[in-house]
Amino acid sequence: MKKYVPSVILFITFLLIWDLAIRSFNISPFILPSPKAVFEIFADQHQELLDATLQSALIAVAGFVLSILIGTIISLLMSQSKIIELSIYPYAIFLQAVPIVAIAPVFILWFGAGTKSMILISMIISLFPIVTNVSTGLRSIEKDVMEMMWLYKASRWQILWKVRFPSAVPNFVIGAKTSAGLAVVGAIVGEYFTGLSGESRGLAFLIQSNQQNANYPFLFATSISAALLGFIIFSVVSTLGEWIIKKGHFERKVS
Amino acid sequence: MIKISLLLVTILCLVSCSPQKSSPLEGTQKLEKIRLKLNWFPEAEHGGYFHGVVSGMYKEAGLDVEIVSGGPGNPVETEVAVERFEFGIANADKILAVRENKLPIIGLFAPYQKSPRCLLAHKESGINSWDDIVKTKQLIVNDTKPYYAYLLKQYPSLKGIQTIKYSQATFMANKESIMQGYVNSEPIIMKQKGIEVKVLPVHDIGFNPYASVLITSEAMLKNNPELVAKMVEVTRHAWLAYLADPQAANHEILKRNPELGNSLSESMHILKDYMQADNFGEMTDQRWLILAEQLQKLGIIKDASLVKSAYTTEFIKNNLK
Repeated sequence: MKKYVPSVILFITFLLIWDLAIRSFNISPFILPSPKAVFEIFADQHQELLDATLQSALIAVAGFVLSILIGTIISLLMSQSKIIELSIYPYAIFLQAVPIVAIAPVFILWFGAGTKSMILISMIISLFPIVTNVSTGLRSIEKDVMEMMWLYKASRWQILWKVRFPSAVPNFVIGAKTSAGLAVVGAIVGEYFTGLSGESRGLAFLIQSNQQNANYPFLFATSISAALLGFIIFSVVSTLGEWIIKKGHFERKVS
Repeated sequence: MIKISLLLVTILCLVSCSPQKSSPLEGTQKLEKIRLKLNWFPEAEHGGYFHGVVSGMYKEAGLDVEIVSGGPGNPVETEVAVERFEFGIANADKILAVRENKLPIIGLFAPYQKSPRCLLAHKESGINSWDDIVKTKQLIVNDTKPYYAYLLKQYPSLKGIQTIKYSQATFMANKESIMQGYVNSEPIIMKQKGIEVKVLPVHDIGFNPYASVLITSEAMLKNNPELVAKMVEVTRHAWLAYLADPQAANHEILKRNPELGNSLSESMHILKDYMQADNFGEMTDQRWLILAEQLQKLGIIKDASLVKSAYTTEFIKNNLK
């Protein structure tokens, strides 16, 4: 319990400064709404906020899981042959540099507007941390270990299973933690480009409509909800990752 | 010592006197600096303002007007409300929607008497009338806008149709899609690209907010009503002059937004019909009230009576045609 004290104190101080700043500098509520106004939105509109957050959460989690699967497969392929690695890796880096807002419209063109595209956009933005971290883990094997495996004539499969996999687990966890936050960004960007017609609306819809109608307390509350969603996904992944590392006695290395 | 003081006096004199002597405006009134924020990139929709600038009409009236481009996501109403800009441009439905959230802005006059908002369908899609639109597979619209809510109310089956962010490329690629637009913009662009479209104006189904309304903040109206009056008056004259001869202003608009190409002059001709009024820019209580009641029914505003403080006809009393 004690470890939460500093962050809670900081949070309360932050709220106080926020409120004080508005009062003392006479800041327009249309530039910065008061904490009270934002809390009131959380109280009054919690159902709408929760629905939107869950909607975006579904997309983010789906995108995240996909990125783990695909990212791991790509890394495995690259670990199996230097030629594959040398041919794929530069493009992976290149693709990573394309801004997600440039990729999103293209994906919608290819895969159609809707949940599918949103998930894929979320997947692509969270893919690269997995690829770079996991392939680092798969490759960075100590020389002695490798030599020993060769000495015992271990098969490629045995090396992968007994040496490379365990070596990559801690790196995998690091990559997954980075991707967890990015998946939420990707989900919201995806939603932003394909509004979900009428009925089901994610966080992007709330961000857009509240910005348009100048409902700034609601806009702030939506942003906080998005941040909370990212935080929750990150925490779950982080806790799970730590547990796996501890349980399996995986060795942590610097990537 | 005396020499130094003399020198200082000379310098001071030079510094303080010389700008006045070289100023060509000596003896005339001081120009009032005004910044106008557009709701979009410069286009025919803003012709009157550009005419006011390039013809010198604003300057003659003592107004130094700077026109600042807008674009997607620019919060024009808020920027005017917090007085970053003296004036801005917004549609009537938007004015009411932000007033619902207490944004202190006021509509002053409305060049567009009919809303130019429309939907475009591909000719070959077989969508020829409003009743056909339920056949579409994709709506390329901004689904956070009030007109979209109105559309869903009129055609409930559209609820199941996917909406997607505005993109002309997507519309061109998907023959079964429907895209939002302005009658004097997208239909012309599509025609130039060789795509035959059917245009469905949204005012045909009863949603007809005044468009491109000139707005100012409540504070501005209270502190400087003379300036507001002058701005409205000169702008209305500038608009009429623009509609009579758009050349000079169009030249400036094209310079600021070259992408318009040769669609601009055609666009301008459509405007005349949409701006037709007994008194140029007029706004009636009845029209505003109808809109407010529509928005109330759609749940965008809670109480239609907020419309009373959303506009003023104070500055458009004298008849202009």
